[in-house]
Amino acid sequence: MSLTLTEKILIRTNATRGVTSFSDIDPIHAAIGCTGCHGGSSLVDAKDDTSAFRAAHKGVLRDPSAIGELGCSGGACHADIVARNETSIHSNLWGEKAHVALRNGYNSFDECPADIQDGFTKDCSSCHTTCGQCHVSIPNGAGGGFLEQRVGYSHKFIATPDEANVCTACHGSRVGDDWNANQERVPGNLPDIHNDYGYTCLDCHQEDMHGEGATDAEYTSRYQVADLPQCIDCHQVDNDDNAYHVAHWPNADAEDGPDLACFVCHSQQYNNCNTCHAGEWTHEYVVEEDYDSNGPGGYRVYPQFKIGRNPYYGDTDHAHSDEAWITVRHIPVSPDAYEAWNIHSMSNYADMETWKYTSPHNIQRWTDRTLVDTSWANSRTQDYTTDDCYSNCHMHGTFGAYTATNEAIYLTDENMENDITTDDLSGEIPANALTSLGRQSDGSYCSACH
Amino acid sequence: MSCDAINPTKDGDLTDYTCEGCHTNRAALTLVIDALELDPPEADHAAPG
Repeated sequence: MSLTLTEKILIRTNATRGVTSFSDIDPIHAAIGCTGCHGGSSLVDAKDDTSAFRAAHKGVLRDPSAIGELGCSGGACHADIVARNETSIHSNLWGEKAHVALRNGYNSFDECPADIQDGFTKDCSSCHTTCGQCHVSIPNGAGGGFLEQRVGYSHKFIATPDEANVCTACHGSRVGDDWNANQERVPGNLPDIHNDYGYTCLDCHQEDMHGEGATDAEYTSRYQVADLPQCIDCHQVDNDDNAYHVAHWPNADAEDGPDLACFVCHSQQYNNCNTCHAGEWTHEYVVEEDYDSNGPGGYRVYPQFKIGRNPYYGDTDHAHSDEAWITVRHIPVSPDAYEAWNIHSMSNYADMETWKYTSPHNIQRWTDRTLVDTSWANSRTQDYTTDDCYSNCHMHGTFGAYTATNEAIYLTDENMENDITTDDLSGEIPANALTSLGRQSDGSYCSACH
Repeated sequence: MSCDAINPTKDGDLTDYTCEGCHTNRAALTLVIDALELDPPEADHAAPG
């Protein structure tokens, strides 16, 4: 629930602790003075001026860090990191802009006509963030207000923002729900094992938050950000510790076995957003047994797990190209999603996939794929080699069988036809031609493996 | 409207007419915000991603 405006802008002092002004809370930043960052005037004669409030606030910047030179980089205090952040995805939403541009037939967002740029600014850009909206306050897109609500700490600059008020306040419906195993959205899931062990977002994500510089503007995906954490940063040592890792380690070398993203084996089901850019939604996800009362359609989000092909496998110019098989998340876009911007249909709709590479933040050692033998979960001596390895993952299940038994976990053309939305998303089939295994009913999906 | 007009003198009222004077005084801050109708109801925010 959002804070009131008073709660958002009140500096809560604590006289009993000797905290009577902002200089007691944060003496370094207080030395700059309120108007030094925010502008305005502190010299208004309130007793004589009937417009005292407006005079005091004339030219005030609610978020000075939104303008680097007037904010955090002033006096070169944080010049380097501010310069990088000003071009980062967090500040500019490059990935979203690239998708809007490419689907409408433009090479970059700057080339888009005014209708698209204005529409994006009005409807999409509120999700960007600034220095202050992570290190002083909750991001505006998540309601705003000081991060520190404790008496005697208001407006304190916090080098390491807390996960709930900053990271998952924005990245909540997918990353946050996965990471914390929100039982209303992903029933039966366990929290990410790293979460259980006390790790936070910032234990893995560090300088990637601030981007790397001007080249950030060339990105079409957040996965292209330099220094993005990868599992192998910590787990490289595990690459030969069992038969499954040896056979499936993602190294873009099909000769040593199919290359799988770590998530294919080690993630649980994850949220799929159905209707931010497509269809109408009437309620949050309901479990299947409640279909009678709510109906099966109209979900905003719903849990699913799908393995697809990596359209960029082996493409060294693209990030995450070592993995032939990846987890994919459905992010549908209706062909008329930009109707309000006078874009009646997207000329290059099929140029961008809508079942996209995803990195679910709900990692577990034992999942529906990895727990081939139930005794393994409690065994420290099992060598994790077994003839039953096919049963949980491979399309045919048990080795030698010719009846598909695990088709539900793979992305096929039928998935795109049967997905729950009221919109005509038939264009998704060509858009995901490199990601889908193909059509199950006519057997064309066989060629994905054979 | 001056701060005095919405904040007649009594114990705890605004006496420090600086940025920090007002922004550390909950009662005065609320009076100003209410008088100028600066805090209209907002739609609930939905975490986007």
